[in-house]
Amino acid sequence: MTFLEKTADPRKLRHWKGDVEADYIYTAGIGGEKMLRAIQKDRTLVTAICKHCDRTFFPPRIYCEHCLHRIRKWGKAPGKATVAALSVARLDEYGRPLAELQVWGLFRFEGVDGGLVHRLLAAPGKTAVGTAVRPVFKDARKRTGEINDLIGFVPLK
Amino acid sequence: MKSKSRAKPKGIAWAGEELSQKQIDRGSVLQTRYRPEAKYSWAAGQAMSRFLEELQNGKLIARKCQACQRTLFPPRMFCEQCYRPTDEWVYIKDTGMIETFSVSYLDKDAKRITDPIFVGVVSVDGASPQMGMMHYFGEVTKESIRIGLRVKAVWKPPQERTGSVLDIRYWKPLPEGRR
Repeated sequence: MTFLEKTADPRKLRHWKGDVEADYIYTAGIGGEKMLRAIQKDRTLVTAICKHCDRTFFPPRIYCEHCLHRIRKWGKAPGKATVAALSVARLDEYGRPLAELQVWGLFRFEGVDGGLVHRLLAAPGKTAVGTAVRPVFKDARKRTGEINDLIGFVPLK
Repeated sequence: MKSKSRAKPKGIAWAGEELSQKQIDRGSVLQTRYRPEAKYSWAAGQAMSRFLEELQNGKLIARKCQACQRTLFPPRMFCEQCYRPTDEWVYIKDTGMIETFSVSYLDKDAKRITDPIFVGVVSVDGASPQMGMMHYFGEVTKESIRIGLRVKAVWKPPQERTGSVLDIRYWKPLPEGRR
């Protein structure tokens, strides 16, 4: 074997196998914790209100990204959201084909900066950008304090 | 003096909250735990793979470059001076000379030790000048070890060798006048 015969498979040579032990614990932060706890507790979507520049944010955060003031005031998002963008997923997060197509959307609330990417609970092709939707939550006893406590958004009748 | 680096300076209100290990352990904050599937397979490469195999056989092997006539050790498949692939495998001796050394009062885990270990570079007979390997020296004292000392590899018994540089236990001094 010469240098120019490239070996692309390390297993053909003397090799070592390993597993990078890059464990981590991710916490949601103050704003994220507030949002997830409120979804878990009473099915509300918490917003952050900047008293300095009068902007409202969802998901909630502790800094206003416009005026950089600390946020300590919290509100509630309206019950109705709008589909700002949507996409039909054919593969899961590992790239494997999905048994059923899924529709994902970016949802925004009127008068609120930001938005949330989540499932759009509608058949592909049946919903368009601009459609009014409302959030759908899991039953109280099944909620654990994660974003999937919110099942998704369903078009308003 | 007690460290004050974690105390909040007066008049400054940090945003956010520092989480304690207790809060994490008790689960009083929401958390996601995850280990990425980051597996790897690391290969020694062509030259080093053969080098390690030959160590298991109790031999030292090098690569010869016909252009510059150097014998490269540890072996490599490309000559960094001629910019061309090297040409052939050649076995070299398991004797050599101490090129440089350290008397270390720290072990390999950086723990302090009272009896020093001796580590350094051996230039191996048969390889081109100053080509060698880093290794341990044994059967020496801090008084007797010196640059230029002739040494010979002390091999592990064949059944204990694994294809590692540690298949050589250490390099010991050769009696004066012996090659």
